[in-house]
Amino acid sequence: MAAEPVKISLVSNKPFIWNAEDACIVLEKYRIVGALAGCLSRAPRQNIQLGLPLQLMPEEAMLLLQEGYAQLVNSDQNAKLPSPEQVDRFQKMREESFKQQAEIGIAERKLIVQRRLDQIKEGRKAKRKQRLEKKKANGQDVDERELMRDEDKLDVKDIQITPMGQEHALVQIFTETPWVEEVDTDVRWDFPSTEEERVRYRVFRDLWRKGHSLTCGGKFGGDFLVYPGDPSRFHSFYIAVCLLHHQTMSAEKVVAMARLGSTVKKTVVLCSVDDDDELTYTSLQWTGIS
Amino acid sequence: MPLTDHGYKTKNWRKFFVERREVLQEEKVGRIGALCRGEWKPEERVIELKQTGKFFHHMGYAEGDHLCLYPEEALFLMEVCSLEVYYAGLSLSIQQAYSMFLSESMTLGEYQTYSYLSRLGYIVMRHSGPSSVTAYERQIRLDQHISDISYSKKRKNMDDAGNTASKLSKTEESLNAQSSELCDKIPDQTSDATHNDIPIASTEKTDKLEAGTLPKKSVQHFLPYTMWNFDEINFPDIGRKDLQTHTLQMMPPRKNLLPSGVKINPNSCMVDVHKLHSSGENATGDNDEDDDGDDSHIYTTNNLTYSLMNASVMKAQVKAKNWSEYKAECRKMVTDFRVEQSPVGVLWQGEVTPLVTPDMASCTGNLLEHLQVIENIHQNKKKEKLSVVTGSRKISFDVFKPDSNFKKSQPGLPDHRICVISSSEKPPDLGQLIGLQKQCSDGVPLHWSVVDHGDIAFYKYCYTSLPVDVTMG
Repeated sequence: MAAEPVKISLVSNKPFIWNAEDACIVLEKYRIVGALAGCLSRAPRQNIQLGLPLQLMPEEAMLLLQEGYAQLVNSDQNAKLPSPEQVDRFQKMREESFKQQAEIGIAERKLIVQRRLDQIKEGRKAKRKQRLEKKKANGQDVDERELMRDEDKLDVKDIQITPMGQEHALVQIFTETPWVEEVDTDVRWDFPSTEEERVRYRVFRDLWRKGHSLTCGGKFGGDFLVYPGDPSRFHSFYIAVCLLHHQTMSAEKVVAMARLGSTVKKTVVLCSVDDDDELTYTSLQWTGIS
Repeated sequence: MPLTDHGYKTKNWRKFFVERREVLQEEKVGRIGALCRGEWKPEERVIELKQTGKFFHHMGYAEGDHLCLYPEEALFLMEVCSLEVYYAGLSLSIQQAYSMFLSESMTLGEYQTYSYLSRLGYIVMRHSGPSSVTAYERQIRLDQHISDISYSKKRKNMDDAGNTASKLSKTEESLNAQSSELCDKIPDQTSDATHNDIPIASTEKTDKLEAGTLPKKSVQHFLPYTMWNFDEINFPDIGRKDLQTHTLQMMPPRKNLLPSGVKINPNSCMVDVHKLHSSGENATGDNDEDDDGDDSHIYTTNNLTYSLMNASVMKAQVKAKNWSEYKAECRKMVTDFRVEQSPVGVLWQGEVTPLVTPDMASCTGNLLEHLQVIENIHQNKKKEKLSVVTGSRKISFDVFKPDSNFKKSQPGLPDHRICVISSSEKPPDLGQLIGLQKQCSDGVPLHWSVVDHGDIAFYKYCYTSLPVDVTMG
């Protein structure tokens, strides 16, 4: 049973996933790591755990598209002027939501009143007594029977509950646009366009198919970091550097990469596509002289 | 390839996934009363506010009677659920806001850097150009007395394109206005009544030197008394051949500029042009005849000869038509001297000559300095002489540390400046780095925010100079 493909939309020509469910599927099922790029709803002012949207590397998005796990959705409508129908739907939704909240609010108040009915009765009795005492002190006539009036007949219905004001209504700022009428998959994306991008994508796909997880390797001077499993649970083993097959490198560059790899205890793997259109991997190992 | 468990189905994994799903699925909800409301204006690319919130302390600006927010500020506030932005009656979703608010002037990378720093609590503002207040003015606390008008104009005039050129001219204008006010206050320096009216024949103008009044148009951002109008200042022409037999009458100094009690001998205001021109040729000869070895004449100030006794130091007269010829002649003289007098004279012939001479060996440090052929670019004080082509680079943000006393109208010097660069771009070359150093030469560190598909890292170029190891001498 093929699952519904997840929706990827482009923002500034970069792939993003806006839907929480889609993001979780991609992270759990398809071994894609991506990078969360938004503020987390429950703790917005920190950088340790970020929230939606999930930004994908172009290689990740391309892989999902080619494997059929995702579809590219046209995001132009997000930049367009909202149509009157959308505005109408939005307002109706808000009104509906407010009505429901108001009803729930009243129901909750009633429950609270029910629980506190005895206290309320006591309170009312005391107040009445106070009023009568004051009247007595002023020398007015007092109807003693008022005091004796049975309070037990007081019921929840008799107590007035002020309805909730508009300003107390809870509203939602949507992460993903909910007013999408139809999913438009007519999108052009020009990745991969250069030779380097093509090599990168081939390497990514090949390593992914072999069961690894890959993330961006900018912090380690490479193209990808290759993990044996989920990055939040393991350290990466390899730094993948993608090169064109006939690209020349100076000895300094090779030494720099090897040194970096040995310092951070990762193996540098030079990846390229050879003349037979096959992927070749070469790892660098620092032996030193002993 | 089958996506098998790889051990993912263990209890811990499942728990982790469930937790992550729960956290990501939470939506942004807020009370209407607590949310501010803004309106997106696509033509000006700003968000208009009806009322302010707490965030207005360090975000947004006032334009006339409108309160406005920049797109990145509004987008961040939406993400932390403090602001709702409406467009044509619809409250925008975050997805819509990302598509609408980000543009060439505020790219995705820049926004991600902005929100990263804002989440940590920093006050991040758009870069407002190099500080118009100099280090000295800051030292004497002049920046606190410059009116707020110039600063708030700065923020308002920074349109979405980050164009600060118009803003800078406005600050200049306000400073001009202030300096021209100062001009008016300095009293006009009128000439002395006793000023000798004999016109100086060599010049056409008989204008007096007036230091106080200045043509107001030419004041830029200097203080008025540093601006001299050379059209009105006279230098007597002592080179004219027809005057060489005459004496020139110089202007006596103004009495109010002299120390009290000093009297001016009118004779000392006369310059014997003939003597000036002839003294160079016969100087030693004349003096020797007069004084019979008494060297006191050398120490008088009337004599233009040098006070050194060694005749070999006397400069031979060099005749040349222009400066470059003169300099070439002097250099030739030095080389000839070295070739003839020095025991290694042969080294000085030809194109490749020694870097140092024995007379430079005053101390080891001095010698090492002369040997330093490759100059340290950052220690070079006279940066105009550099032949490096300086590039330009956009500085995106000024960052201030979180501070409750922060004032938008007078933010002061930022604590950091940020340039945003993508990991796929080339790193800045030396020309760009030099250009940037020139731009922010006020000690504020410049950080580079490298955005790599959502991952942000900050780097900084540190300019160090290796110490000179002087172990002897």
